[in-house]
Amino acid sequence: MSLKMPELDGEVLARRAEIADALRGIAGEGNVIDHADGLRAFETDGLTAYSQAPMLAVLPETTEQVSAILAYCNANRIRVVPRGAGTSLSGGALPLGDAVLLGMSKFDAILEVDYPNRCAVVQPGVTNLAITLAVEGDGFFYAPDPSSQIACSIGGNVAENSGGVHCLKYGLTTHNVLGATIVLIGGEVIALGGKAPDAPGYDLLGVVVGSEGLLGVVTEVIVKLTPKPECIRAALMGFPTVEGAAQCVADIMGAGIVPAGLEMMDSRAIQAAEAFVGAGYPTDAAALLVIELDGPAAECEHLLDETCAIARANGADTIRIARDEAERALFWAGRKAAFPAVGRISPDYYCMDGTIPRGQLPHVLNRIAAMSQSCGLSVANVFHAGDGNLHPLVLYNANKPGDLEKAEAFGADILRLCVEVGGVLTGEHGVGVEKRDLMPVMFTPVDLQQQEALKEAFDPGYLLNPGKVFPNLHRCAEAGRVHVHGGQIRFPHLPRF
Amino acid sequence: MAIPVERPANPLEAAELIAAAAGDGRTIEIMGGGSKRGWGGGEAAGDLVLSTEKLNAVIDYDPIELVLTVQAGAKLTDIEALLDTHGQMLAFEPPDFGPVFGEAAGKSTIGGILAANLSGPRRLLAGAARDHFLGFEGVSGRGIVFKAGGKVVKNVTGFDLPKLMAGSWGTLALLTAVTLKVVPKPKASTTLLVRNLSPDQAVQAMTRAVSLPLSVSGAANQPDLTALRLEGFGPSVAARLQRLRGEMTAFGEVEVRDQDFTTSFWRDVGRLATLTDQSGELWRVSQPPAQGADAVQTAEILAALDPDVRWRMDWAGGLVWIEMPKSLPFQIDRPMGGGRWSRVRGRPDVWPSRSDATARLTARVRAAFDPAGVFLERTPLYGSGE
Repeated sequence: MSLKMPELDGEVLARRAEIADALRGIAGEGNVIDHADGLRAFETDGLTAYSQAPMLAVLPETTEQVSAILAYCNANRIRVVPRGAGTSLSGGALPLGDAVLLGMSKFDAILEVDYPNRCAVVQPGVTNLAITLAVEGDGFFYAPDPSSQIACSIGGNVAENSGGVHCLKYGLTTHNVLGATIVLIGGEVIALGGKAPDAPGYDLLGVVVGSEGLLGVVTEVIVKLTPKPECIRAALMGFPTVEGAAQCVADIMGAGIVPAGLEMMDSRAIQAAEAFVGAGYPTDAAALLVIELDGPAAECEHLLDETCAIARANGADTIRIARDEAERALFWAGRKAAFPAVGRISPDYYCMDGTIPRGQLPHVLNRIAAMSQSCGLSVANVFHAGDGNLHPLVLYNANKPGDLEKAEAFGADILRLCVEVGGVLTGEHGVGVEKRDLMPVMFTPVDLQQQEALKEAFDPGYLLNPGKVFPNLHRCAEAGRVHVHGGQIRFPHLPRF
Repeated sequence: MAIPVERPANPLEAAELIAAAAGDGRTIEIMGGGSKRGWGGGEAAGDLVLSTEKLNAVIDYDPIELVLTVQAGAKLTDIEALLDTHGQMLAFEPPDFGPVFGEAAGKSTIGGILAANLSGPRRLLAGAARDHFLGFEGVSGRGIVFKAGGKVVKNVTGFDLPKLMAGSWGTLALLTAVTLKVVPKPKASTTLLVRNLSPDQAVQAMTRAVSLPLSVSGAANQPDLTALRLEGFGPSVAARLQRLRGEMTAFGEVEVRDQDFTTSFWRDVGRLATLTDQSGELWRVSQPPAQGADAVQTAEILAALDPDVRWRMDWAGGLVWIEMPKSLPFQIDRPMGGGRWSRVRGRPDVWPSRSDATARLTARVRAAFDPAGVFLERTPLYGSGE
């Protein structure tokens, strides 16, 4: 791999057998993995460009075990990489060769469902979707819905501050988590937040959410439950110009309408998705919006009328409202299949994740098109339009010499452009190792030093998930992205949007 | 001797003042409008007051983007007036707490609101101040200007330091500029009133209301009056009103009030306008909403001894305010039940100092921003019941 990670600690590696024994003593004989075959299962996450087997893996079952493991590793200066379900798209769970991989998969219980307080207490290994499945019969759901929700764990969601299509209306993980129990690297167990809102004291929970495993290990989470909407409606809107679609998005949001989801695709993405799924997308459109509205039936009807009128005023030449649940699912199937669909038209692609101010969309898409021309690589764009989160898919052929490097340079240029127009490097996938070396594009050295000072308040020895988020190891121009070859993404059963 | 007040005109001037104070061991009290200076009841004074009075410019407001960047000393009233010209607002409904502390209305600044993480009734549905705080520029206790977060809603680049600043009461950094999410104002609103419920019944009614998919944006209770708010587009409000009225009939007779009533009623709920005895102590209790009646029962016991003890419940029970008059025949110096109690007016809390892992981490986090302890901790950071 071209990615530079912290230098291996020879002293720790020399003590591997002794460390394995100590971990067995804490977590039990069967919960420590030290054979190469077993360790291979952990060697990569959703960012498959990089892989590295950990020195050892341990799968604790209790908070006390996590505490004892971290205290032991801290005392012995052993690095620790926490891992949820391993679906990160930014390499957040990429192991280190001299680190203990701390897998949280055995924390898989829903401990309490508290409807009067509209929350649930869950262990971090519970999958995102499992929470909704446990409460939907009683009229509730857990709102954040990252595309990997059937597999990703709530602990990983906390680490990454995961979003999803519906975060436009319902917020990110940080807006839907009330509390967490975390274990610090020294083994201290602390409760952050709780069912009581806005209690005095620093909002440590707020900064732990999205901290990518650098501050502590989550062993319990209190999630907010939201009443399930009565009615869900969806519509497709095709536009002859990108500008028309972008203005339509601005006008919908400006009218005070908060759709449950508002997605945009450009012509290349539309054509690829339509060829793959047959969702009935208008293949001659320059841009397509998929809009979803939820709420009381009267509200959905009213807002469908309003949004369709706004779309027509902005030149939409195709407007189709889903007649039933099956058609609504079909509209989404095309959008959700955009990534694998692009995988069919190109040997390889990789996915970027910047956010921009919505009004910059036409400008940014034009600039991306110009960059595409000059570097000779095509790009398909899908976009969480309501909140300005852009996912350009750069198409390349890894077997063609120089293509990969061109694609990586193109990707980095797109992220620089996002920052240049007032946006950010990553809207929902996280920094991880992927965008680590681009952090100086967005932050000055003093900005990063302040963040590192906070890291040191939690983990002075930089033992938790080192090599992620901060580019302080060295300045490397080549940052990896989500590389996909022959449509063979990791976790192919997971939709990615 | 009066404490000197400095009014830096830009972040670099502020940074110089802070670096100089940190260098020679002086302490600085950061002050916005001073409206909440009485919060916590402390008398502690720094060597210097650093006022954000001159840091009051609007830096960037593009109504289409639904994002506002202003300097931290901008007055809340000015921000609200600016947003209002575009039919927009801050969704977390920040209340002006000046009058709660005997100060004139209109002094609150946005920096002060964020430093206190102070939110109004709509926090129930829209989230707290911290949830709308996207990014900032500030000066650390090292006297270094830095920034964090961004100017877009969806951002996971780096640590979410705006969350940490919200509610830190000026003990970590001086906020010089802040970026906030704004939203269009609702087109229609209405309030349902149910009278004469006991605190228990009121909590049950509010819990029921917020457990339905009706987007109830306010659920407050005062003795004998339970209020629920619906906001949004007209046809939606009408449909939800019908459903909610039907549900609430099980608890008592329902009155429906119009938009004008709704606007003024909820503004008063947020700023505690009906708790008027500023000479007394004011307690804030944060608790799991369904346990909202517990703190109220304590207040009712005290009210049996002194009828001037008053309470208000907000956030469907998650927040209880208790006003205790000077005439109360004894002093309350400890939490009177579950939840997190803090005394916001009167005398400082007198809880024993803490040394648990959370307190130690808190001290390290503070030192990460302000190693010399230049920023005065005027407001106690903790309530009780940890």
